Amino acid sequence: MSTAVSEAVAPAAELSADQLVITGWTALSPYGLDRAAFTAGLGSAASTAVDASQVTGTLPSPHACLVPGFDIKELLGKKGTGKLDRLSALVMVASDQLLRDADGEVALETDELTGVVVGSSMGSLETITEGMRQSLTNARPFYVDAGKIPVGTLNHAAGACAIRHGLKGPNTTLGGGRVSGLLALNYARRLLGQGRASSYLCGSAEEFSAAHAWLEHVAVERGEESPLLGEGCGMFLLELAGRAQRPALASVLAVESRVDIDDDPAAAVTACVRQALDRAGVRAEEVWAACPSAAPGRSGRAESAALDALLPAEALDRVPTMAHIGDTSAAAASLQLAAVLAVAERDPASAGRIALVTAVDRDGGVGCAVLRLLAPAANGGAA
Amino acid sequence: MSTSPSPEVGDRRRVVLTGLGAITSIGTGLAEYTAGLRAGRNGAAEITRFDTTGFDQVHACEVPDFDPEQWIRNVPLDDVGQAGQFALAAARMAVEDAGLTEDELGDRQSVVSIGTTDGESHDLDRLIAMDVAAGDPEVMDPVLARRINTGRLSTAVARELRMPNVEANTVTTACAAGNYSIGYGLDSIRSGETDLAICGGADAVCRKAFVSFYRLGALTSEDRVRPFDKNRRGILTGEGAGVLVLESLESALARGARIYAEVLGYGLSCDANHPTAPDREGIARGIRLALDDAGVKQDEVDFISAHGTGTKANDKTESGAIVDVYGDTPPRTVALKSMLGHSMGAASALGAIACALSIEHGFIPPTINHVETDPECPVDCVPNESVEADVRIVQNNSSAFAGNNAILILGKYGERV
Repeated sequence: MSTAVSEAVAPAAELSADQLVITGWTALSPYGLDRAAFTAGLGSAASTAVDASQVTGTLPSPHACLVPGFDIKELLGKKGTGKLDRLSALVMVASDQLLRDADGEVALETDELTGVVVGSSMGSLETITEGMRQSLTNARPFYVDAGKIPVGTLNHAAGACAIRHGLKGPNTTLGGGRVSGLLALNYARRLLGQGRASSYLCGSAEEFSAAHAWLEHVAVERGEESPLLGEGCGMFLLELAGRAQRPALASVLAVESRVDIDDDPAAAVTACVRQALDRAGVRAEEVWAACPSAAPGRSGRAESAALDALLPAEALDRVPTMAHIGDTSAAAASLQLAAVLAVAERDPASAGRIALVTAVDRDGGVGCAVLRLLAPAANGGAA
Repeated sequence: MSTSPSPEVGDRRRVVLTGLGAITSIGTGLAEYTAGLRAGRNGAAEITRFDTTGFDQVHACEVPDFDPEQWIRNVPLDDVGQAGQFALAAARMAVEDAGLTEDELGDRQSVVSIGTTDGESHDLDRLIAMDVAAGDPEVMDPVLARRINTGRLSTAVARELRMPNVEANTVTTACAAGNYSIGYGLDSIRSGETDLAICGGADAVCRKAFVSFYRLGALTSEDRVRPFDKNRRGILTGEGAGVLVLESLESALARGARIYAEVLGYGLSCDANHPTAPDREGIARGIRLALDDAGVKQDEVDFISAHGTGTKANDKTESGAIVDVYGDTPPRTVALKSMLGHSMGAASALGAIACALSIEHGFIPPTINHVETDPECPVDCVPNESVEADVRIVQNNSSAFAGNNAILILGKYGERV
């Protein structure tokens, strides 16, 4: 690539037919219930933390970053939602926002090969641990809420999303901690490339719960603080450029991941980013916007240090920090991708530029996605 | 879909199995697993993993003789739970079986994909029990709390094998997860982006799964599982791990590796219908997708390793789907879960290994505990005794809650061009 950074290319017309493109996105986040709220919230400099203990009961620390106003029955109706978990509901509402426009009309034609892939570390931990608790405390060990059992399977959210919209293509759930969203993106990229799917709903999600908060609290390494937890869901419509139904917002140039086997997350992130830039065929100096996970603790600090050393400072300054919405765990990488797209929408100079998202997880996974941003603010996408 | 951009069958990179690792209730290691499949061993025994007080079922198919230190060298045993130890041991076994040294693995770009239903839910069960007993979540053990996320199953395999340049994803698509992982490895190698994938599934017997199936009425009240039998009553939970080394044919030939079988194709379908009930149309569609992907015709399939859980609903629905695709005289259709119980995320990975071993050794494993075939399951389930057979092409079925079906097709290498 010899294109000077200052020369934005006119991109969409040059895409090859098999280029993976993002043609829609949404984000449910502590900034609000939809994409507009996310975009607006990103610009504000304040933390979204609230006193969550009023909702959940005793927490290791009372503060958390919740999706405000997330009322399952209000958003999804009363029918069939009595036992629904928060995680599945987040995924279902996100899928509604991508597949239907503001008037409730179909925004994307689906077929028997429309796929769904959802990144989630542990499914609904609240549902699973509540069932375990009931088994231990009720009069008989099998007196558990039968209606909650399907909800407690780790792939429930993806399946519920398919049932809601009649999506019969490949339906997959992936676990990879904070890297989950990038693993899901690469999974969809591969299956689209092999002709197994016609288009993809791809995202990752995390629910906040007391169960999650306590488990994270006791898991914290000595000398580290308990993380401020968040929740949310970032979701994308993925298509191949040659048969995309909607305008491309970004090309996915590369998605790479590695595992930190030497307890040196900075080195693993550095290697992963270099690999992703190589695969994308772009130089580090060309990166216009970059968004690290801002994970709490040692791994997040290592990630920041690695990116500081690799990328232009203005690229890192261009995307507001994710720290204001807390550690959104499995949702993190998808919300970072959403943040990059939100920044691009507000800045016409983004067209043709390179954006980069990284992720790092306690379990050793690291990931990096490289995008070429394509669309100015006014262009299409989901409501 | 005729608009599929995927390469034609003949133009694709071919993918073969060059290493297998199996930890099972009927035998650990390939020799023991093969012997168990051939003999029709029953893995069911009284549960030791957790206290069964208050239940009128006390059986499961646990791995009786697991010694993690025999296999796991690099990852501290405390870093993973029971499912993780199974996964690491099976992965070590598979790469050793493939003849791949740590130097050969090294910085090679590859995929590690382990499927699971419950991950380390046994640890989560223990953590919640600590909280309940003390009335205080602060007492939960940090060592256990750090290792419960499902992603660790795959990253720990990469750490154990000293492979930093891997895409490590854990597929949590429940009881079809093993086939999903193998399929992802196949796609990764077909794409040309890697020539090696270490794939499979792992799960450990846990109270969570036991209680769930018990409460749903899907757990048998007997001490054995009888798939396709008129008097079948449900599943027993099980455990173990199956890991397979997938390699591009060029890579396998270049290093003179033994080839167990070729991975001919797979299919994924989603019922989009019901969160727990199996769906005949969805399973049949998955089978057709797999056959199409493999370029295999119905009359070429020598036997089917069924999902075959032993529940009323599954076996009837799955048999119906098989008849829908194959007609009134389908290939012999066996249920390994009669021997292994339902090893959840490991199930279809162990099924795939059994298929590869049946091709390698020329036999079809039996469906044990069989007395009288249910007329609603009109298949020859190879009752009770394995049969010698020249096995060339095998179909390995799996289905999961949430309406997910993953079907894998393996073939004898060298039989097809």
